[in-house]
Amino acid sequence: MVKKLLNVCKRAIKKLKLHKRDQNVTQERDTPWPFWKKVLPRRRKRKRKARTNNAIIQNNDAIERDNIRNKNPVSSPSLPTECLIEVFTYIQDDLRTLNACLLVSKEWCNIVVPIYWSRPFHYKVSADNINTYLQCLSKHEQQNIKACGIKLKKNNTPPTFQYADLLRELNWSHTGKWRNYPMFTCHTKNSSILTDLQDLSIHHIDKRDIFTELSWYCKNLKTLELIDYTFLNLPETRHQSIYTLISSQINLQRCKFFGYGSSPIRPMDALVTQSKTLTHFEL
Amino acid sequence: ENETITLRSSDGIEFHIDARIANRYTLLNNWNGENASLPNVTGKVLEKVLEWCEHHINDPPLNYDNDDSRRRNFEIDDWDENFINCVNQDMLFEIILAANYLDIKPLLDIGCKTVANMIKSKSLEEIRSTFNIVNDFTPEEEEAIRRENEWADDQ
Repeated sequence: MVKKLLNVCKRAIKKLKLHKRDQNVTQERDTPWPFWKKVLPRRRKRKRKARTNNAIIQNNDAIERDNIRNKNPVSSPSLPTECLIEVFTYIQDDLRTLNACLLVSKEWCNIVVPIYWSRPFHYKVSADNINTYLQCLSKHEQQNIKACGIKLKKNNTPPTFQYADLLRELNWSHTGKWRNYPMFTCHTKNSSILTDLQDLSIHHIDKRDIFTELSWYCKNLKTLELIDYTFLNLPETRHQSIYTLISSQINLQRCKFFGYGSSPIRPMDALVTQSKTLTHFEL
Repeated sequence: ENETITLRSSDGIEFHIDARIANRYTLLNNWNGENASLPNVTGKVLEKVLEWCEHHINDPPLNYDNDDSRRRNFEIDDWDENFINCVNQDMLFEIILAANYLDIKPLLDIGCKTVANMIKSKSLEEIRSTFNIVNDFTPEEEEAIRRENEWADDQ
């Protein structure tokens, strides 16, 4: 990783040299680390610390844009990131356009990727999405998955983005295709996967208890829907784990239970713990 | 009978506008005073922005509680469409920047919708040339993004 960072810095400095930028920068070419640090604060702050080379993309991006500005001092105006984000809200459902925008430039890529990966299954359920998620796992986690007999695509470089961290909306109704993927089992309790998930809709998964696992990771849900359940037939432990999931939420606002037979008494008890934030409940 | 206020653009051009316009938009209202000069907006751009504001002076009050419904609506009314089609791309961007800076949300929406319409159904290369954007990916980076985002390839 460090080696890679150094390489990127060297490349960036080479570019700067080409454009004959101020001398003190070129003087630092033998000690690229301070230069790297100098570039960092120029970028907008990220909410989460970048664990992969997200930062690399952004830094190169900043340098490139500076270079372009130097070349054309009177260039036509360009839209700042906040306006571009606004523009992309109008095309977020248009996958064809979104995909053309993805590779326009690093700045556009940094906007489009979070849009798509905030709700990747909204568009379709595809094995490609899962493969990308699997690449975001640590080496150790990937080894565990291989041990379970699942083949992973070979990939030696770490992913450009932590795609799993970008997930905001997950609807379990059309996930049959990847129901058997070991989404949670290989993760440790400390993992940050799914921590920012806000909307969760689960349709009739009762073969295994996913609620306890979810309660380890998802604590920031705003909307929770449990649909298509026969609550009467669920084992008592499952009621308890739904209770745990609900009561571990910090900011639950909407909750919906849709099922058959009797009402889920124990899970409903948990709603008391959400009384400060809950505004909508449907049974 | 209506009160007027004076706004000065960054290049020193003065505009006397109906105070009701300023009242609609918090930021314009904040500049209502002795030193009403907008450091980030040039006269040319401010003129267009104020032209738009003047036309919309009697619009119903703004309600921005529901962000989503506002965004789902792709329609731009005839006057606005005509207004925005009469400006070139540089001016369009300047208007968006000014609307963003002055927090005039409906105008910002119209600008962004127009840009979104310019992007729609264009290819990667067409977008780059329309917006004058330089590809700053290295081949390796581009390849990695493609590989990780294969959703983009099967259209």
